Amino acid sequence: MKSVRKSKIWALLSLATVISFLCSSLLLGCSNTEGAITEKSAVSGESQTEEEPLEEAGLSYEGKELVISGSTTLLQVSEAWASSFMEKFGGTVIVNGGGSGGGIADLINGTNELANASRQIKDAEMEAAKNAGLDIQEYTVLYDGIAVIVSSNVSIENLTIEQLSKIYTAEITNWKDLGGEDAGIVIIARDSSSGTGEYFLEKVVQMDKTLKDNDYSEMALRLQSNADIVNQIKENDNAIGYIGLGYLEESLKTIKVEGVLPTVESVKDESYPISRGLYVYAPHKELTDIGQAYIDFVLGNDGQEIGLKEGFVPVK
Amino acid sequence: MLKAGIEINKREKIIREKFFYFLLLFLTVVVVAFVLGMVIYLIIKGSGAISWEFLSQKPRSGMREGGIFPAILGTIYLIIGTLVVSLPIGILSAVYLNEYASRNKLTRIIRFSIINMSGVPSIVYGLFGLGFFVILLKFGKSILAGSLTLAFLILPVIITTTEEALKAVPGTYRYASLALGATKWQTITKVVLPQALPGIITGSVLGIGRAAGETAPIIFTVAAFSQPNLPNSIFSQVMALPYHLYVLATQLTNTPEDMQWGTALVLLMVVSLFAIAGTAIRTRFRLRRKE
Amino acid sequence: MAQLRIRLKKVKSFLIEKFIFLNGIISILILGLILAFLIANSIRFFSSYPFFEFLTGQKWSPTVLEKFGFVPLLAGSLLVTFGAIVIAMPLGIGSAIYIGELAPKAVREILKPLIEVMAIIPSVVIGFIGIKLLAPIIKNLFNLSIGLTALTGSVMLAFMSLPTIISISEDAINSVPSRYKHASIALGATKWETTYKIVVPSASSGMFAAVLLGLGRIVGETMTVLMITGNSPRIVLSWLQPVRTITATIAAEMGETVQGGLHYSSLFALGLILFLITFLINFISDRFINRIRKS
Repeated sequence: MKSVRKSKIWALLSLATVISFLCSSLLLGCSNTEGAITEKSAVSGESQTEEEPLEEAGLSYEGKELVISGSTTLLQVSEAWASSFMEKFGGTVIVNGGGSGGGIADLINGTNELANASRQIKDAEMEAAKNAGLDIQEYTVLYDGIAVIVSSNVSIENLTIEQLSKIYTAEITNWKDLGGEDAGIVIIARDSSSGTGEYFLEKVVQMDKTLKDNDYSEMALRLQSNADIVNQIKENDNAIGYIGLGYLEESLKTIKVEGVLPTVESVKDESYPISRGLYVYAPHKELTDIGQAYIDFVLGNDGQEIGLKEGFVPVK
Repeated sequence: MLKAGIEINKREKIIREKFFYFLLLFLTVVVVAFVLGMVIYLIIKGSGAISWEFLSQKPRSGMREGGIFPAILGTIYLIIGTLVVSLPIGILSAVYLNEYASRNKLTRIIRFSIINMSGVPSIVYGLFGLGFFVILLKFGKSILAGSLTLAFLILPVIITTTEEALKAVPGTYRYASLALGATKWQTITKVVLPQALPGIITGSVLGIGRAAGETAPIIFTVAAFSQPNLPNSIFSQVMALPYHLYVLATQLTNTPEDMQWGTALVLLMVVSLFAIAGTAIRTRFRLRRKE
Repeated sequence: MAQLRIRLKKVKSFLIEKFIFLNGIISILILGLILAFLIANSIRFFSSYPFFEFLTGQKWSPTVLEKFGFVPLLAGSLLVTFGAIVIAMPLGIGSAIYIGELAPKAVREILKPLIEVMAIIPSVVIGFIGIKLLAPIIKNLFNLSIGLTALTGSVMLAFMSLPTIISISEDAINSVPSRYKHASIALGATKWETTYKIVVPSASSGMFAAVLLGLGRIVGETMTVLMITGNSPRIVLSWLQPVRTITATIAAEMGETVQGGLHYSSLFALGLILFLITFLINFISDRFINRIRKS
């Protein structure tokens, strides 16, 4: 009697688990087939002449997985690349943030396949990679300018690199010293894992590495992503921060640096002083098919167009 | 004179009493207003976003449109993984404590460890999970690593609730079973555990509620910023609801407000669903015991 | 044959017993594993970075200056924690007394599940509400430039610790023997006098334990502070400025570090310190709770 009841309860319990499993996979199955249908229509809708080869290449990476992590500057555009890639070729591309340092660390620790970075790999990191038996290949995927933005109540229009350096080291702490209103400057910077943060540090705060002992003042707020900086600059007063070109929007007040506004053109012709490349790092030998295909896609016309649409500067 | 003095004294006392009574009432009202305010605000702001599409579709256009289905699914996978690991270990651990352990120093240390495990900050579990499972054991950022980390985190909940349930099984059941010639193990599996099942379910459900809401332990062990497809294996990363909320709130620009609030509301609903189910089972169980 | 079977049975039950024992001590094993792992990984930091400089250093600049000063992080954690406890203690103990002693039964039945609801709200949701709702309020209320401050963190963390403080304090109040109360009332004391002269003092050690456990919860909380305290590693004594806590530092930096590096190791050192702090808090509060149980 008792054992009957017991087995009943266990059976119920396991049944519930199985059902929940089935439900979830079923639901996913549905959404997957949906995806497949839209994939096809997208392919056929694109252009008639290209249909054949695409169909052939189409979905050849089904069931394969590619893990990318790193720079939050590249996060939004990577997500766009990934979803477009998956639509065309199938497979699963997993995109993660973590900052440039995080991506490269993941690469060395062996927890991702490609690392997004908004700065070049450091010697120390290269060394660590060598020690881990990795031969790392660098791909420049886009160009980017670092835009300096301020809260809408700040009346300053233009800043020099030196002024920016003094702001970020808290040598200048009030907007009135720069010709603005009498209000304390709220400095917003990125955390140390950020490539944007590090590039800005070397290029601006350390004035092209001439002042090597300069670090962000401890008064600086350290936020976790470009997006977080945009949100906080928008919502608060007297604040200054920096973001990748791709995160610029019209509602943000952008500062001219040395008299130049950051735009696709000014970054391209290098008249905007704080610009840099954006990189993808890959292990040379261990790179998988899907990894190589993704890089080819990113560097190809479609990938670069997506980059432009996201506000960055194409490499070609 | 004297009488008047006493009168005044008494009145003062009454006033003071009233004052403190209302102070305590006020403090309670503040707490209640805080909780209710938060929950109601969340419901009002979030309910607009919740629709079948929101729950069943993948994110689109850089996560600014579409739904949160992969995050919900990822959380389900994590819950299952966490349970598969922590349930057997937790139950057996409670069985040991209640059925085998004698009252000695070791038992005291075990109990103290359990209390301490529940006090260890979740970020320390995350740090441990990253260093141990992800890097040292080379599981990578994966469902496996995340589930193990979360399983460690909720083990104390499962052990304590299971033990409470085992304690409630009358000793006479055990004696009867043993007297009929059953071994201790048979007694436990055939008599004690079935009796304690509602309590065990309560523990696991409460544990799940905790695991489903945690962010810090999963950021570096499993959670993906974007992973819209079905995971290939337990070595794949998945999206998860709490991390997705963090992403929407701090890692992306121009995500629609109601999507963010909607995600927060879904997360709260998932977690409270488990908590309510857990408490309901426990209450029924306790009532039945009393009868 | 039969003998063999009996022997097999014995072996089986022996193995089962050993297996259960192994599971029984799993909590010790896991706790030991975590501790050992934290120590093993922080050894590199403690052996190569001067300990005194770590303890007294005023700059946390792990990548640029390679300075690992603990003071700003400790100051941040202390500031946020202290603020949270100052807010949570009166609210928590006050409402515990109200719920446990003064509230009508019907009200109590409503309040108790409400407190339980509070306990389950995930920390990332609390952080989210902190960003969206509280930060703008604090910014406008104190006329600040930015709403991400220690105070914002304190308020939300106080909220998170309230369920712990309330439920354990209430347990302590309920465990005061009713004969104490009856005796007091029989002697002519009013309900209120009984509450604050008899019940509260008798339950005080339990309340202390409750506050301590709430403290443990606050010290270890990560997502909320990462999202709403601004994370600047400055040493300030004002609640209206951004600060960086120990937990947020680990969460913000642990993803970027390379295994075996000094920075990686320093974060494990922070983790170890956190572990020891919460261990101590649990140890003390456990003592107090046991004392209640015994009496």
